[in-house]
Amino acid sequence: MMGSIIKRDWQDVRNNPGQALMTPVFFVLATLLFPLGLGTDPQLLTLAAPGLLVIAALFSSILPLETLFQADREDGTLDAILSSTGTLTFYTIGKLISHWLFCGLTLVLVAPAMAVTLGLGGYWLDVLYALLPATILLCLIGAFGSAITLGTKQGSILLALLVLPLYIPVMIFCAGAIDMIRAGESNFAPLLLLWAMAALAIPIMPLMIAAVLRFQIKT
Amino acid sequence: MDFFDMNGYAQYIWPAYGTAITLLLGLVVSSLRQNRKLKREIKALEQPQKTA
Amino acid sequence: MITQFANPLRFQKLSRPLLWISNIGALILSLWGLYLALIGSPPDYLQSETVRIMYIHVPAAWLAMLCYSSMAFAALVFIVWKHTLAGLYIRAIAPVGATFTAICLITGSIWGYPTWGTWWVWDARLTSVLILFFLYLGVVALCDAFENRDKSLTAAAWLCLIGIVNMPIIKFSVDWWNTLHQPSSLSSFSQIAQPAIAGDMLTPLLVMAGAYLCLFATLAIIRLNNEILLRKLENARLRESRA
Repeated sequence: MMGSIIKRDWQDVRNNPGQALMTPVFFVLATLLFPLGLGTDPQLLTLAAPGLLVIAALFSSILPLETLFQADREDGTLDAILSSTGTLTFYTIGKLISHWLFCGLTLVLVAPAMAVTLGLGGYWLDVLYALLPATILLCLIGAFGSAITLGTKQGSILLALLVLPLYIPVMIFCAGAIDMIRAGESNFAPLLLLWAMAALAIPIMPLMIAAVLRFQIKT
Repeated sequence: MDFFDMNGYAQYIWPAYGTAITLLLGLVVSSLRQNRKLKREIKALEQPQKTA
Repeated sequence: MITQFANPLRFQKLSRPLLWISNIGALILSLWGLYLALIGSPPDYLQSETVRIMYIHVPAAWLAMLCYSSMAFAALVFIVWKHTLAGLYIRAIAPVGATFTAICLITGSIWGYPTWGTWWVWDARLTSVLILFFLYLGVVALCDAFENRDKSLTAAAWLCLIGIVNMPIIKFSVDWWNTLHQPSSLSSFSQIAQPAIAGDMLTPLLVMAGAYLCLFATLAIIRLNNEILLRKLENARLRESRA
């Protein structure tokens, strides 16, 4: 089940790369625009870069959320899976993995290059280390928000309202982690916290999301 | 008069207390009004059944 | 025991005497508390009169957290046992909690300016309370998001449950991080027995807290009754449109 979902989403990416790869594309565009807005003073850019990277990651993570489960709900896939196997857990896990692969991992891989453009070139590896747990959390929390607002009238605004408060701690620790390295301190603490949050979220969130999806289709 | 002046801090204390009291009283008032409105509407719905 | 209280009619009967108690309590405690806070207590050694804002700021914070915790408990009951009242409770109480949080944030900000020199600072406690405020707004929005009322309440309940992780963060943020916000003076039983706060200031604080609590009870009862009436109205209208 999980494998087939991931394979199917991979086909989607190949057929329609623009749609499926919204997140890394938007991330690149956003980070490229920041220097234009802030002026090119390299010291200012370097100081602001951790926050800018994280904000850009945040907004680009929200983009694909509204339609994450929408297509499957509308064409009846969710109903079919629920009635045939009785559980949406494996579907959810597969969907989350593919979501993270295309919208989270791509972000992690592209971010170091963007860090260079913002003046954080020497710390590209730390940017990668910090964004890895952060994107996992962003994907899990975002998918939860997406599941809860599935089928509402004012979907995207409600989604942003729900998801952003939950994103804030992730944002604080991720930006903090990058910033501490820039300032020359050890960023062990925020990284540890990020991974701790991810360790909590990874087993719990898929189950909660599956439960939410289940009640969404049943009513 | 010193009560209202609060040793020079009146500009902080009174708006703070004012906001808190206004918001809370506003909640109470709106809840009571909603209560009365709902009771009225339920009565109106039940009335035509009684006369008919 | 939970099934006993789940019956809306029983709740409506119980609510009348309870409402009397909480109304009288709210009236007495708030008048007494306001007197103590504004007149009957001494100004602070360092903060002078602005410490009086504490008497409306701290109880608001306590109640904002109590409110959310009760909502999360109701959410659990609603999702697991499907008790109607629990779902209605969430919809009734969310705006109340949002208001308490707003009062906490606003009075805190006003208190912060003369005390710390700034209206706002992004430290752990203020940020997590702000997150709490947005969580409340999210719940309020979710309660009406779907056409099906039960579906909306279930969604709101799920959000309440997820957001509960914010509660320990708020509570312990002043211990875990070096923050501008004052550390807790009443956080453990040993501290309550020998509080780090002067008795002259503890009394108005506790009286105001009691007043807030009674006000919360009053609002909860009135608004929960409203939700029951609203459901009754909607069902009656539905029946009429079919007949």
